[in-house]
Amino acid sequence: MSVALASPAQTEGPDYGSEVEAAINRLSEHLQAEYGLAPRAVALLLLQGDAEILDKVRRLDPAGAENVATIVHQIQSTSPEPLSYTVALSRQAAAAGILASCVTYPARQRRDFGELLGRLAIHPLTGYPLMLAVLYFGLYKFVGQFGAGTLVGLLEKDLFGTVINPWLVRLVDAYVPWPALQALLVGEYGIITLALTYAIALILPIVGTFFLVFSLIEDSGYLPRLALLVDRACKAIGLNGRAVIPLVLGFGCDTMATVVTRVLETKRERVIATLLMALAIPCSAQLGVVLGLLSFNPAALAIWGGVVGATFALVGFLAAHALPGEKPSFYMELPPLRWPQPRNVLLKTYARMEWYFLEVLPVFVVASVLIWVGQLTGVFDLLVGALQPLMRLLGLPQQAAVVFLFGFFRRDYGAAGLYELAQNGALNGAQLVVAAVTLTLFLPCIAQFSVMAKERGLKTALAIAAFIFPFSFAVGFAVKVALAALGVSL
Amino acid sequence: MPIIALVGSPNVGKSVTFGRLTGQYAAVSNYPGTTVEVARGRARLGDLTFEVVDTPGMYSLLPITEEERVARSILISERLAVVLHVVDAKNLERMLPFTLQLLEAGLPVVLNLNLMDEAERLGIKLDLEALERRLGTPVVGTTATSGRGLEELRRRLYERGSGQPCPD
Amino acid sequence: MAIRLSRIGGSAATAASRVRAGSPSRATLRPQNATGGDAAVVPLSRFRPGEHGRIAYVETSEPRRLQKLLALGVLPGKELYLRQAFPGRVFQVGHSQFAIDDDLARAIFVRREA
Repeated sequence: MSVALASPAQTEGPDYGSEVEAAINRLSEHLQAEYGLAPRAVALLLLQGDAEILDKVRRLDPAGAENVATIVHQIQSTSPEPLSYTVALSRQAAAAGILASCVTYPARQRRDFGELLGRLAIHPLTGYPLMLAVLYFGLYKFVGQFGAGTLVGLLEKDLFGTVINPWLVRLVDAYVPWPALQALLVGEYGIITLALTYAIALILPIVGTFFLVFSLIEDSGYLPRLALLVDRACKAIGLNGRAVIPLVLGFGCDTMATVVTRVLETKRERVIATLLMALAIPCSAQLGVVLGLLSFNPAALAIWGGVVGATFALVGFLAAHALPGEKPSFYMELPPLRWPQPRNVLLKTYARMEWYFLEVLPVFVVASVLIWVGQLTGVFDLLVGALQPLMRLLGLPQQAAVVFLFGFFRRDYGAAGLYELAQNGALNGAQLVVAAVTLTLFLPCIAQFSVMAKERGLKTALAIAAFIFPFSFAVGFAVKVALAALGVSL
Repeated sequence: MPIIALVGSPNVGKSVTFGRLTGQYAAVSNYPGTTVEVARGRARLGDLTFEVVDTPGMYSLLPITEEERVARSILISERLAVVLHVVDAKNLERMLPFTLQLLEAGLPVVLNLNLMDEAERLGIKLDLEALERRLGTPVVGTTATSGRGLEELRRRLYERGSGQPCPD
Repeated sequence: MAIRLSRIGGSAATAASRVRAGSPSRATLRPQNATGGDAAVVPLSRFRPGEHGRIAYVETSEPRRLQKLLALGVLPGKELYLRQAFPGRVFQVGHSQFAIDDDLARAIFVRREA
């Protein structure tokens, strides 16, 4: 071994063979500009067909660019194999050579419980039941029942409803002399009574429990296994298994998940995932409210789930066939299952809740103010009136229009309004299902729309919105007609 | 302020190392699932303050996904004091080619073998000093989740980033 | 939609491995007669769970697919063990496990070993 070479300044770099090395040298001569990487590395990227770097050469070294392109083309066309392959093999050989003297592996691999569990998690016979168990206990039991039920009950009804809000209302009534300002702060849609109460008592416990579960699943190494299990199903809707990461996260917050679609490789997949999340993935706040509303009515819950699920599958299937582009492909490393470290899980959960809270609270407050202004000026009533035909179409009471208007500001805000309406007994079972379906499919919240525009471009975001708006009402209408025709009473 | 960039493939614990170095889980730009945006924070090492940049996972300098493109653009466009290549100690054979590529690009690399506990549990024996000699660049073993090896990592980062011995 | 994993070029109908002496992890693609292949070398998509082998070569017309496999460290000369075939191929190389779909599995050619 050439230990003598290994002075600290020297590296045993890979040797790519005489032809490639000659090409590297010729290319380096033409690379005069500063690329942020050594000329040798730039030359290697060019040889591997890196279009981005070639563009950069055209910009920074216009004089040599044509020569560079010619040299690259020449060796690429004469090489019997793709150069990225040659380069990877040479690097691998160099790495193996170095490691031969630095690493010793055990003769046999040890097996432990984590490995067994990891195998069970992806075995077709045990993997799918396990997946359902994780979703049932993690999402339904913990987020749906504990977060959206128990915690929301404690915070909203007991803490805010009977202690904090009555006290604040008295305080404001006593010290703020103007009724208009009183309405802004503690009125029906007031900043304190509505925005703050919704954000803290309704939304926060739901997203908090969701992010806790998600961080646990993420840190345990289960997500890639989930991706493998659903890969085939994802292919049917033009995605690959990797899409399970944004899609599951969408059940927490679609806005955040829209950003995470970047883990998908192709533009086509990112557009499909963005569309499906905007349309048919209810975020945790919506989901919590819907589960809370419909959980006493299993048939209604099943119909809602069936309709939203079918919409998801159908639109995905159609999008996969309508959108041109590269077929999705799935490859993923399956890391060993690990025990999540409590500290890391809590830190992550906290960071996500903080992100979400900072995102949601200003929107709620702005919505309260807008509604207040709208009410003072009469614009609000005008809009509610304008929505009446749509409400009649869906067979919903007048007050539901208010809820749909909320939906423009934020989907979970609209869902929370639905909750209020149902609590007051203004909706029967069938109406509840129609309203829940329409609101779930309805236009994404303002925050999600702005992220869609940022990530996918304004044109795509507008196109998605233009599709979703009539489509969600059409589905709601279809559900109403179907329920009536079948004589289903819920 | 001198910059330290964390690079490496997914699932090697870059974000945990980032948290350990900066004392924060993430800036607002760190999204879950994977790090798809770049998180930036500050680390106090010895008598110097460094800016620490956590990049999305990448397997090589030749990007396949959007996130890899983002990661590469940081390596190319920012003037970096240290490139901390975080790798899985169990899978050195697969990860070292990227280290070689970073060195080939003339970047100021510190190689961080993370997940040392898992490698040891598998019975893998690593001679870090020999590896350091062969590579000609600093090599540090850590278990970021438990904090093991982090003092050494801080010291080596300081030395690589400032060109001076660490004043403790 | 057509499968994109066709063979490289027209005349280079298939390719076989040529292991270079003294460097076991190095191999190159070499065009060969289509029927002259090695019967023990099969695409990973035809491997059965529990089978061991050594990666002979990777063959795809699509640079991106090749790039993905190279990024994962799926390289000629490496030992491979197929753990399961459904719902996706799960295999082990070194101390890492990978999951890929059938399309990618068709690009990896493995020499069966007992």
